[in-house]
Amino acid sequence: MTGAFNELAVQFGRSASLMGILSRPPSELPIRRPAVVILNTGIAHRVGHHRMYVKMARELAASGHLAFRFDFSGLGDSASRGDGLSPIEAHKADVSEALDWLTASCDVNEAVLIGLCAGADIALYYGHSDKRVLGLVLLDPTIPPTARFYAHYIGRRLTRLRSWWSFVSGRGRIWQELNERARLALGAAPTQPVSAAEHKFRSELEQLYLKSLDRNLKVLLVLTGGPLEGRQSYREQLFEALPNVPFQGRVSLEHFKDADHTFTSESARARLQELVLGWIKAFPMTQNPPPTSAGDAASAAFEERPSRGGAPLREDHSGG
Amino acid sequence: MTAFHFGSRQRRLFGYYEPAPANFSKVRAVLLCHPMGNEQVFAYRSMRQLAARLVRAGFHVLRFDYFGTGDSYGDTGEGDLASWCGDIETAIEELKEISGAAKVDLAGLRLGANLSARVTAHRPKEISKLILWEPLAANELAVAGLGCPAPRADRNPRLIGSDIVEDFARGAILSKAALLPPSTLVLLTARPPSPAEFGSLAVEYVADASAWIEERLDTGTIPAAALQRMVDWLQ
Repeated sequence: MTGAFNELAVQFGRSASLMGILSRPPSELPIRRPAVVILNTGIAHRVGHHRMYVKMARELAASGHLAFRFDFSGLGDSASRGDGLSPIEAHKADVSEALDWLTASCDVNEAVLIGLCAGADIALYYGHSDKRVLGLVLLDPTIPPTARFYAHYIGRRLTRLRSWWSFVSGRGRIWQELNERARLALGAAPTQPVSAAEHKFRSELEQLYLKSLDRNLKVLLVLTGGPLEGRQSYREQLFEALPNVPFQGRVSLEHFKDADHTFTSESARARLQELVLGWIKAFPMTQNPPPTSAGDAASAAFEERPSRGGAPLREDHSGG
Repeated sequence: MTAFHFGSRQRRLFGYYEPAPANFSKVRAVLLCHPMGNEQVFAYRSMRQLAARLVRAGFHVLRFDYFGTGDSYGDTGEGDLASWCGDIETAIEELKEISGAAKVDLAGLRLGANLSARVTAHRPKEISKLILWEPLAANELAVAGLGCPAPRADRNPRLIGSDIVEDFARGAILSKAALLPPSTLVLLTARPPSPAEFGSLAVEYVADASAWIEERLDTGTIPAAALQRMVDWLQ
């Protein structure tokens, strides 16, 4: 059972169009730094698959950290920005506004970003650019394919009846794909040149990791081992895919061999929870004294209850 | 739009309220009842879209999460079918208070439909219109009773085949028909109903996307025809 915490529904950002939930420690507990900001997975709203982010945020709050789950613009209960930004730029701007709100309302100047899949990618895109970000928890971020990945991929396909049926029934695309990937796995040059877009993306990822490490961001990488075709297939794939990034000894890597991409297994979620909590607790204490109570620190953030024919009611709710 | 918590201190529920535009003088209010577990996550976009369309049509709309689900307080698995019905009753009271409506309409999807039917049968005078969107059959309900109906999730053996599940299931809706308001609509989008499944209740089949299922190729697809049918019917 989750320990004590309390939560506030928050509408923030430009014209209060973004929506989030702040989980806070009980008022008697001093706030520990850093705060934690949890980003959307794909188009799933702030709750996360299997409600995993709710539990994660509440466990963090119960152990003294502020945890903020919010919806990117256009997802969940957040409105689209309407400013013409690309999805990545829009979501980076959303993270910036979330941190601005935490700074203004809760005096947060140190934060860790947590994201799964596309959420991890946004954390990587944004983290190095904001001095308030001290660390990243990247759950199954995008990882470029390697020769070893293709070998694994082919192996998996060959053990599937459906793949053989496609081959026997003469579906040429499948055969061509297997043929090309077999060639790549054997170290041959691709018959088609690597697309400019793919090359650019690999280079971009490399730069993002380099910038993150240059800024001395702490990075926790968690990779799942379940079927995730087209993404990753083994523990060291990121290191081999981006050989120019000095990862070794500078990031923590955990491989959840039996977990699937959304941590469907309850035991995998519990293990992840414990890992993340321990990793965040290990952050060194800062020189600045923390606020004395979560209730005081976030006093500007009381949620409003709709009220008929009068001013909105302001309430604070405790529980857990 | 206001996101807020309501309910008792021991059972805090998360709600999202959107008032009707000021130019609608007649007060009409709709409570949306979510499905459960990952179905709630996948259907969230569609339920938000349904709320937006209803607001544009002049309704005050409250969406909320049952205890132990979504953003409401409580650990996953802490709730049960009976107590979630109690949460709907709490939400009805909240919506009546903040909107000023004397009666409300209910629209429930999947488990939300089963729970809505049960609540309406117990409080028929407070519900004007009822939409039951793809209610769950007994075998699906036994899994949903866990609060996390992932296909590979462990099932709750206490619920499978129990009287509780049978009483809440899609098959029992017909037996409650006399207790439901005359304006009740069973809306199916996955497949047409079997003959006589819902007796004299109004049943419509609108072939559309299954909002509660995550599909690799059409994730995020909104069942626009089904949503619009519900808005038109409630009007």
